[in-house]
Amino acid sequence: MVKTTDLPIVFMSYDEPWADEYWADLLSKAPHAKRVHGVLGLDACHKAALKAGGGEFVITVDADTIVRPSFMDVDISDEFLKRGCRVEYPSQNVINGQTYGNGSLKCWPGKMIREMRTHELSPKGKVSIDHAIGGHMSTTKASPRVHVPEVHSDVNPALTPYHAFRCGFREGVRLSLAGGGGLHFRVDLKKIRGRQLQRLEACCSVGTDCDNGYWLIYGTRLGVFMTHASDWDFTQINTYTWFETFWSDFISRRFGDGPAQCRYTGFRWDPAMLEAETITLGKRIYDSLNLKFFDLSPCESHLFRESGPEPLDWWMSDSFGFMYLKGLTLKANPKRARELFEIGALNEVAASVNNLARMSELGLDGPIDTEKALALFEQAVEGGDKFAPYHMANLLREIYPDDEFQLIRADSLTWLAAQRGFDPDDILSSLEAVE
Amino acid sequence: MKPLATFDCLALLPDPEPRGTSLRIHNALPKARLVLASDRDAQRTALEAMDGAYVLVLQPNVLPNSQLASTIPDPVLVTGDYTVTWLARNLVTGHCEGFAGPTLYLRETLIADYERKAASPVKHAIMPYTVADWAFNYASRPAFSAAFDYAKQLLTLPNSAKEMTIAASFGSDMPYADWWHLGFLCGLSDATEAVLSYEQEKRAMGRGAKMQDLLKDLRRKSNAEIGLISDRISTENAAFFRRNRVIKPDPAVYAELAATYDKLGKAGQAMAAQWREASRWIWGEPTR
Repeated sequence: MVKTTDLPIVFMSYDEPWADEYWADLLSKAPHAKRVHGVLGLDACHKAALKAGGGEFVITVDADTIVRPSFMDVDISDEFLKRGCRVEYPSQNVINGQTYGNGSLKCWPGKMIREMRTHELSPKGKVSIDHAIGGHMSTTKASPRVHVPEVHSDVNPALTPYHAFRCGFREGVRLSLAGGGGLHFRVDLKKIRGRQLQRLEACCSVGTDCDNGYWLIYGTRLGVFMTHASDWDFTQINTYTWFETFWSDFISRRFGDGPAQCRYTGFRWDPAMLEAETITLGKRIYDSLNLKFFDLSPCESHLFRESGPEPLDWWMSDSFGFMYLKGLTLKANPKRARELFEIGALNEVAASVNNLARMSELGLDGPIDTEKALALFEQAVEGGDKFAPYHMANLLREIYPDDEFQLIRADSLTWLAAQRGFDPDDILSSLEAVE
Repeated sequence: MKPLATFDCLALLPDPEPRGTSLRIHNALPKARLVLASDRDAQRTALEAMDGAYVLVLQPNVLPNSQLASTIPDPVLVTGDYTVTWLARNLVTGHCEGFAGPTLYLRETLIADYERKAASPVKHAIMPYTVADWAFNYASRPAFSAAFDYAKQLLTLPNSAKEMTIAASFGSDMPYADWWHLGFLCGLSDATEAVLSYEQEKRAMGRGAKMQDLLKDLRRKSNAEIGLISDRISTENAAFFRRNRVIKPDPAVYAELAATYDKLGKAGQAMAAQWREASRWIWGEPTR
């Protein structure tokens, strides 16, 4: 175990006028913290942070993030302090109540920072708008991102109109695209689902009771609109200089010179116009992209946050278990994998029930028990897992090769798996060919 | 242990019984006996006619969801003489709560309670799984009464501010939501009797008072007197709350369950550790 206070902590600021305040706050909790300021580009900035930290690992803190004192008591397990493993602690957004990777505290291995190619240095032909750390950053279970289910920081991306707009715009683009890490691409917005859609909707709707909250919402909506209602090159968001021009040439002029004033920059704007334009933009997105955002009153925004907090992505325990099971990034440990799958099963994660079934079927961390495996598969199928029907079908065929009823059942399950999106035998396209 | 579908069940019915209730209950619980909630003698007779050691009790307007039939009670709890309650989803607010949740009792304890006309002190465990819908919102009176009783219950509990906010504000997009909110806010007041309070509000409306004005006045009063954080959420935006508020049981539900398991020997302590970690993955302990 290594205490976070025994690792270098580096605060990364670029142009944030409140950065000195937040830096002072961090220093009061972590006197050994270092700072890098004004380094342009995500890639260069992280490399500078590693250098400033002076160690083989570095914990990075974004300039809009306040670290809670509890972080200083955190122990990081030795097994996570590896060359290819980034440890992440999600952050809570004080404007819209969302808790996820935006503003998260990250413990990086130096090797990963040295080898990563964030968007401005992403490999040729790869469209990236995030840290591109190769296969590491993909959303597959092979990801070496260890998500620790603890919240030790609060992020406020709306301290000035410009920064709120910039952060919102980037989130609007990012959350409305498919892919991740090294590759992003446009998809039909109807394909954005689950937690990603919920986060997008929250970012586009909640926060009207906060200072600059409308700027965050307006930026997010405009990011979605420009990405999907035109062929605009969304990788522009990688460049802060593009943002500066976009802001000064278009946005600030459009809303400028009103009664509201930013306490950090002195920028003035017309809040009534901003609110009206935000609502109009929401309607345009609905009309042209069929994606509904909500215009919450300040009171409703407040209630949304007050009725929280937002749960974390609890199903990540399953991905974590899979990493232990397969020895991906972490040292293979079937016992720990089973424990994590059992936690997932308690939390009604169907994928974890499927993984427990596979462990029983294959005799991993215990004897082969096909009866137990079948019962668990059945449970996972009921829970909606996409892999379970396929594995259960194969097991039924193996156990009952001459039982016509079970074979028909197995065929039905294979179909179900295909319909849920797991079709390794390509039976759906063979059906299309027949038709 | 076997799934709940195989257990005896005493389903308490409101009077009149909403259409489709018995069908939905029997689909999930074939051995269910449906008895009016107001008829204690019939309830006792039904209990005596059962043959199992345990009986699942459904409160009025509580309907099984698709999970209930296959849910298996934990033998560690049941054989440890715990009554076990699962959660029910409030169809107006979307919140999941144990207040109206299906509960598994030892049958002889329930029969003894009917004889003594008082509830025995029981050890109680709440499982953080939602297995039923609390479907009171098919008419004004049941919606009002359910909320009224729920408010009275919350007032007796510490740390129920969040539940109160949700109950008093969420769900305007659902049928009879205004009546739920009215009942809840009346329940937070000095009124002691749901039926009388309901009649009083009906009379006020008969005299021309508008529902939204009544709600506004009651909200203002509750906000001022007990520090309730509540406001009306528009019908349209209530749908946003429903879609985007991820409902998982509160950390306290997990903490209480883990504390219960801690008392149940080595096997219980292992389960307690698992539930604590399950909660950590959802709520990010220890800092929240």
